[in-house]
Order: sequence, then C-alpha cells, then structure tokens
Amino acid sequence: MYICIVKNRVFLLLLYIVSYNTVFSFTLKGTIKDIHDNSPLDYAVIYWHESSEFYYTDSMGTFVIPNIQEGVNTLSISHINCNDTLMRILIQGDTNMVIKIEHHNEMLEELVVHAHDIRQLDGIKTLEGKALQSSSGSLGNVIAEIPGAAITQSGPNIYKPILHSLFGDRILIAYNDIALRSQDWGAEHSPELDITHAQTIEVYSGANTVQTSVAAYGGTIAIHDIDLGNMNTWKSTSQISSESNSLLWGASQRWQQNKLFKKDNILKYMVQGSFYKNRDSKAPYYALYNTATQKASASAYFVYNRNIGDKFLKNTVYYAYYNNATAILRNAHIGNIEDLYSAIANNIPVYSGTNDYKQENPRQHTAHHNAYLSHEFHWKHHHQVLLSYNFQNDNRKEYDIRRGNRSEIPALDMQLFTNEIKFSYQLHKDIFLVKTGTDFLYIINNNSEDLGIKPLVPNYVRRSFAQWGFAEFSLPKEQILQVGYRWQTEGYHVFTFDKNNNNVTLSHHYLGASIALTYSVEKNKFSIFQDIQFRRRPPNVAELYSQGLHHGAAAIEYGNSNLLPENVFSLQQTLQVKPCKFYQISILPYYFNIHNFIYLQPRPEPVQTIRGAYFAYDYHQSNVQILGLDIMQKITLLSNVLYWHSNFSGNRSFIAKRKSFLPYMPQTHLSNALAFVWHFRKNIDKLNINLEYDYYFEKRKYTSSFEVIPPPKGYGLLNLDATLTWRKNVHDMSWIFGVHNLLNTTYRNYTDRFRYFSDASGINIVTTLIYSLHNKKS
Amino acid sequence: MKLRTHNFSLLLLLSFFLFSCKKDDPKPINEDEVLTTLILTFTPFDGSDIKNITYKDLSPEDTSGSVITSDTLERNKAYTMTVSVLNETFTPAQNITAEIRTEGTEHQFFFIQGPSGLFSSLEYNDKDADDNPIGLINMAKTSDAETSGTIRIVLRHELLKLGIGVPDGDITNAEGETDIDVTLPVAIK
Repeated sequence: MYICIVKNRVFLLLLYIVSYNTVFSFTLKGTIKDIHDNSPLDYAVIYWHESSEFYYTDSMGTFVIPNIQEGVNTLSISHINCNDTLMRILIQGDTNMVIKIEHHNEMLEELVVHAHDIRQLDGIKTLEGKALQSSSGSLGNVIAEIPGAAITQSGPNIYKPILHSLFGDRILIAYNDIALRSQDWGAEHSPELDITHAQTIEVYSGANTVQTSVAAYGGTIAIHDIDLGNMNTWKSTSQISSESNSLLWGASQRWQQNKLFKKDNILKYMVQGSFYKNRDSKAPYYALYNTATQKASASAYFVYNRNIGDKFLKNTVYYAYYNNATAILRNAHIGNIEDLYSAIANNIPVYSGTNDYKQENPRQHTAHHNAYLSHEFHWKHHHQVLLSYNFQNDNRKEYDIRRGNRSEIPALDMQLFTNEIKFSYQLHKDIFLVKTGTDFLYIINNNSEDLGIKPLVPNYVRRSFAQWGFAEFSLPKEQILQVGYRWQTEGYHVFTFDKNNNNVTLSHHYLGASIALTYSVEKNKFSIFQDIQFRRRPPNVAELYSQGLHHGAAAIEYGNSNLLPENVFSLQQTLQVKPCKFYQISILPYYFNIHNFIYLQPRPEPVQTIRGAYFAYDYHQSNVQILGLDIMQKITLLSNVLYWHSNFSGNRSFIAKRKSFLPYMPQTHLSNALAFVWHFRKNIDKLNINLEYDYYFEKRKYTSSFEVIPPPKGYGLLNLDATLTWRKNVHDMSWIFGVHNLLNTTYRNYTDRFRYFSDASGINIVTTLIYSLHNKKS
Repeated sequence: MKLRTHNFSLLLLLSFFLFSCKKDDPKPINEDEVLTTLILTFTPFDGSDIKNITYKDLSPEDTSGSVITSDTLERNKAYTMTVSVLNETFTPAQNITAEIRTEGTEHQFFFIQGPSGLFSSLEYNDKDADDNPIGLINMAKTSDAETSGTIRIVLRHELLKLGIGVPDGDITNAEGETDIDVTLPVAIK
C-alpha cells in the first residue's frame, strides 16, 4: 500500500564483534532488520547450509545458532515479502551480527507500489493509507496512482500504461519477470494480466533493464504476484470485491505452500484463480452503453529447490491463463468523420441506456497463455547460471458491427506465438556482480483467414537474437555504479499482398542496441540516482506495415516500410532529500532526446472514400525531445498518525523541427492527500484513512493539427479510501473501502481516446474483503 | 534426480518449440464488406432511355480516388430511381443491394439535393419489414427547368428509423453510422 523509492540491492551490513576462542565451535547471534527503518523482522527463517538446519527469528528479530563452525558458513535468509537472500560469513569466534534485508534486489531506483505489504517502510510513502489493492484485478487504476505514470485508455476497460510520456513497446510490462509480448498490437490492447494477488508493482529504469529489451527505453513495469512464504508454511487467501459504478463483482482464491522434505529439498508452489464481471459503467448523467466486461484468470507456479553441498539447484515451472471479454462503448463506433463530429457535438451520447451484463458488438475478446520453465544452478556461492524458456500465445478477436449476418465473424482475429530462450551467467563477489546473457526470440503473428476484412497487422515472423552484459560495483560510502549493454538483431519476414492480391514477402533487418550507466549514492539525508542511456530501437511491425482501415474509428493508418531505427539519449535523475524527521522530498527530472522518433501524424486532408471522409494517419519520423518532472513530497504532521502527501508530474514533448507538441502526452497532474494512520491493539491492527484531491490541468500546450478536438478542460477528483487490517493468530483480514470520484464530477481525460464520445465514469464505491489463513503466525 | 529433472525440462522445452513453429502461407483476403460502387438507375415511366449515375472506387483504402460517370436526365420527367451497391473487388462483383434490403430495418438511404429543386419531387417507394422506407426504390420527378447540381447519397446503418422527419427522408435526427456518403453530379436538360 505504499509507494517508496528503494535502493538498489540487498545490502548486507555485517557487524562483526569478534572475540577469539580456542574452540572450533562458536555461537552466532543475529538480528534481522528491515533496511529502511531498522524495524526487526520476526519469523524470518535462517537456513544454515553446512548443517542443513533451520532457525527462526523471535519477535525481536533475533536468532541464535549455538554451534556454528569456524570458517566460512553459508546462510539463507527468507522472510515474507522478501526475496531469499544467500550470504556467506567468516566465523572466527562468537559473533553478533545485524543483517539488514531489502524487499527486492538488483533493482536500481525503483518506484514500488507495495500492494500487500503491511509492515512499515520508510522511504517515501506517498500513498500512505491508500489501498492500492485493485478491486477488479485491473492494472490500469493502480498505474494511474503512481506519480509520473499514467494510462492511455479506450473507454473504461481498455488501457495501456504510460511512463515518462511514452507507451506501447517503448515500455516493458513484465509479469513475474516474463515480458508480455503482445504490446505492439496497438493502443486498443490492454496488458493481459490480473493483479488481484500482486505482491509488488515496480516501476523502474536503470542499467539493469538491458537484460530484457532495447525498445523499452520508457521504463519497465514489473508485477510480481508470486509469494511462496516461509519454510514449511501454507497460506490460503480469498478475496471478494465489488464496485458500485459498474455493479462489478469478483472473487479470487490463492493457495500457496512451502514444503521441506528429505532434509534439503524444498517444494514451493502456488495456485490461484480469479473471476470478475461487470455491467455498463456510469458517467454522472448517463450510462456508458455497452461497456460490460468479464474476465477470468488462473495460474500455477512451482519451484523445486535442492541443495547438494555448496551447489544449489532451482527449477521453476509457471503457467498462466488470462481471458477477457470486453464490450466497447457503442457510441465510439462511427462511420466517417461527419459521424465523429456529430458524436462529439452530442452532449449526451445517442446510446445512453444500460445493456446490463450483455455484451454487444463492437466487442473484444482476448486470451493469453503464458508458460515458463527455468533451470537455475548456483555453485560455490558466487556463480549462477540460468536457462529459461518462455512460450506465449495471444489471441485477440474483435467483433464489429457488420452487415449481412457477419456480426458473429470477427473483424480481426490475430494469434501471436512467442518463443523465447534465455541463458545467463552471473558472478557475485563481495563488491561486484557481473551478469551476461543471450536471448533468442522467435515470434509468429498469424491472422485468421476468411474473415472478409484485411488485417491491421499482417502475418509475420520475427527472429531476434540479443547478447547483453551487466555489471554492478558497490563502491565505498554507499555508492553503487552499474553499467550495462545490449545489442540485438531483429529480422522480420512479413507476408502480405500487393494490389493485385499476389503474395509478397518482405524482409527487414535491424540492429538495436543500448548502453546504460547508472550511479547512485545514499546518505542519511539525501540520496542521488543518476541514469544515462543510449538506445537504438528498431521500428516494430505495426509501424512498418500496419495497413488500412480501423473499422469503427474513422481512421486509416498507413505503415511506413522506410522507417529507420530510433536513436535515443536519455538522462534520468532522482534526488531524494530528507532534511529532518518530518519532511522528505523526491525530485525526478527526466530528459529524452530521440532522433527519428516514430509517431502517427494525421494528414492535413482527410481521405475520401465511398463511406465519406476518413482521417488518414501516416507514420512519420522526427527529432523529439521529452522533458519531464515528477515530484513527491511527504510531510509528517503528527508522527505515526497524520501525513500530508503531494505528488506532481508534468512534461513537455516537442517535435523539434516542426516546433510542435507531440499528441497523447499526459497532462500535468497534481495530487494532495491527507493520510491518517491509527495503530491499535499493540500495533497489530491498523486503520488507514486517506483523503485525496487529484487535479488534472487542462493541456494548453498542444498542436491543433494533431488533435481532432482541443484537449478537455482541467478537472479535480476527490477520493476517499479506508483500509482496516486485522490480525489474530493464524487469521489475517483486510477490509478496503473506497469512494472514488466522491463528488460525482463530470470530466473527460485527455489520454482517453473515447473522450470524444462520452464523459468518464462517475462516483464509484469500492469494497474489497481479503481473508488469509496461515498455518503459522506470520 | 538431478538428471531426470534436467531431461524433463529439456523435453518440454523442445516440444513447445517444435509445436509452435509451424508457419502457413497466408491466403489473399477479399474484403467482403467493402463497398466499391454505387449506381443510381433512372428508369423513366414513359419507356424512354434508362439513365445511370455511377460512383466507383476499387481500392477505397488508398488515395487513388474514384471514377464518376453521369448521364444527363431529361427535365420534367418522372423516373423510378433505384440504388444498387456493389463490391467489385470480387469477380464476379458482389451485389450488396440484396443484403441492404434483407437488413432493411437497419438501413436507410437519404438523398440530399444541392440546390434543392433539382427534383421537384423525390420520394421513397419501398418498405422494410416494419413498413418504414429503405430508399432502394424511389420516385423522382426532375425539375421543369434545365439545371445542374449535385445529389448526396447517404446510407445509414443502425439508425433511428422513427426519428423526427426520418421516415420522410430528413437525415437530421437519423443518428446511426454512415456506410455510404457520396456526392454525385446531376445535370438536367
């Protein structure tokens, strides 16, 4: 429930208090603490490899290993919501040590939304008291809460995240460290994931992003919903939720177990499923006809760990399925430009009734399979190899309003098959970490035949090969330096047709590359993070070969097969200052200079067809500069009770040569929140109340030739959220209650493509109840 | 144990890869909802020559433009004006007219004259299943005087057929989506 800026990786601060003895067996006493606020972590598990024994910390976070051997010993430390940490210590006598552990390792400069974390974290708790638990399993409304992030929408249910004013495949969405590959399918394609059980949502950039992609220079959104708990525990989590606006209801269930058997074999697994259904959303004055959705997801994750002396083997099998059927706002379906302008002129949309839970055309149906296998092998405590294979299958069908009984034939039916093999090697010594790897990617995009409509993106095969390297050095005085590079070859074979319907195969080859340098330093009162990147992003297939008509959107899009790769130089900085106990501020400026930036530009004259006039868009390239600033501020009004949070984000994006502003860049946003926290019953139970006022400024800097109509007026939304967390023995309960758009304000959001047709949703009362049952006190 | 897990994973890995690698050659796609051609056929009541006004655009997605041919109509003459719509990307051409007639309750043509008075009267002469006009068959009487101008033909889909003025051919309150919107020249001698 917090956003915080966390530092890069696991810091192990080992304080040795050494007293020499003549015997060979000593006592190791330790305290495990949270790196952020030094709070002790209870029920952490310490596994002593040399003897295969387990120890647990008590309520003060301390543990004792009575007979530890002299010499080098290996300990694994695990705790709820922490990655398992492997460490080696040299024992030369009775030792008393403090181990500080971090929630996530190897992420330099990440903006973390802790969806479930109920422990206190220091850092910037911009959303203190605000439940980010998504009541509909949708990432969209959570992303919108992150300072500096936004979403581009097509109505209430279809969205894509924006980071640093960039979206599409310039952003990577990684779900349990697996990149979702369907994201270059255009703006009408939401990420296929359900975040009901998300443990963390991290937004980050930095040198370690070279491990995944050259294209995603906008940043990475990493969602993790794997929580395998502590040794020999199990946990069951159930959630039910409802939303008043669209009469949403949903339920989800997760089961996880962590089982030790045969001395040092550990099996951890988790299975989960969820289901959500809602009917039409409601704007303050009318219903948004045909916006019902239904989605279901299921996933299973198995990890098998085995220790053989100083070797450690980890096998992972993961499978996730996601299925989503969404009706698309009926008013957004139009025949030509004249229909578009008459739809814009109508203050109240023509279709304004409610269609209950029914879904009519236009509608969209997506299904996603994601399978992952990996083999991880660690030896001699420093070395690690990882071999993984990922298979993804995405299917998207779109049903349009068609003549002649064709409404049940999809207007679009695409299948995307992704195969990816990754191999990497990691060497981790005391102060440095080196990683190198190769990735093979093989993607096939197929369109169903006999639909009677030409596909938007043609059939193609993409082969990609990448080689990357990454190094991290821990310098004195809490300084960290990271460098990374990646180069990637891209080969496309596109199967399409010429004017006379003859098969044409077109081939393209590109070289992509990225070099990144990240530096960070952390002091008591301030920390600095600095990231410099050079990237070369090849154009994707949609940009090269998108063809023809977007039915129902009065737009014709023409791909441009002459596009060159984008050359990007970016500079990102985070400055965090904490001058006193009661105040802290984070300032995050960023700058992108993009040579050959690819964007859609409308032609000055619409294209005339038998259906009337259409907007025609071409892919153009130009030099673009993006300048942005995100600020987060936290003032403690009453320690541990009352906080005031302010977040600001703004950007300016220019096309240099044409002296014009890029369209679809999010508007300036300022939010102020008052957060109240009340701990009771010996700090076990907690009540959070958060009252927030979000103001979105009118976008005044825009270029009118890029906009169909001028950007909408500024607006403010008032939101109230309350979370009650209650815990007894093996039971955990959370009750989340929220009223969003409390004043039922009528507004239209600039980055919502359906703002031409209708207002956004009005007041929404959200309730979520989460219940967990453990076999142990946690 | 170690070996077995290794092999198992490898096998799975390979099977996935092989399974998902097949690639079919795509078949050409004929757009079955594209409209390429609109023909207004004027059949005089008196049995004299039939006149046509035609709009044709065989590749509506590009900017190659359209071909328009227009016969001259005779003044002060009563015609039956029928509308035909074709998809000529198919050989033989697909006739969409029947489709529009079948789905008559969801479709209606509108005819907008510029200037008004090209036709002294222009009335619907067909009915859908609900007894509302479609506009595939119409009665048109040309003006008394020699004149020229344009006629704009609009086909709306999923419209409000009972909107105010809509049954009489007024498009103002029709709503719905535009399937066809072309403006053709009319010369009357």
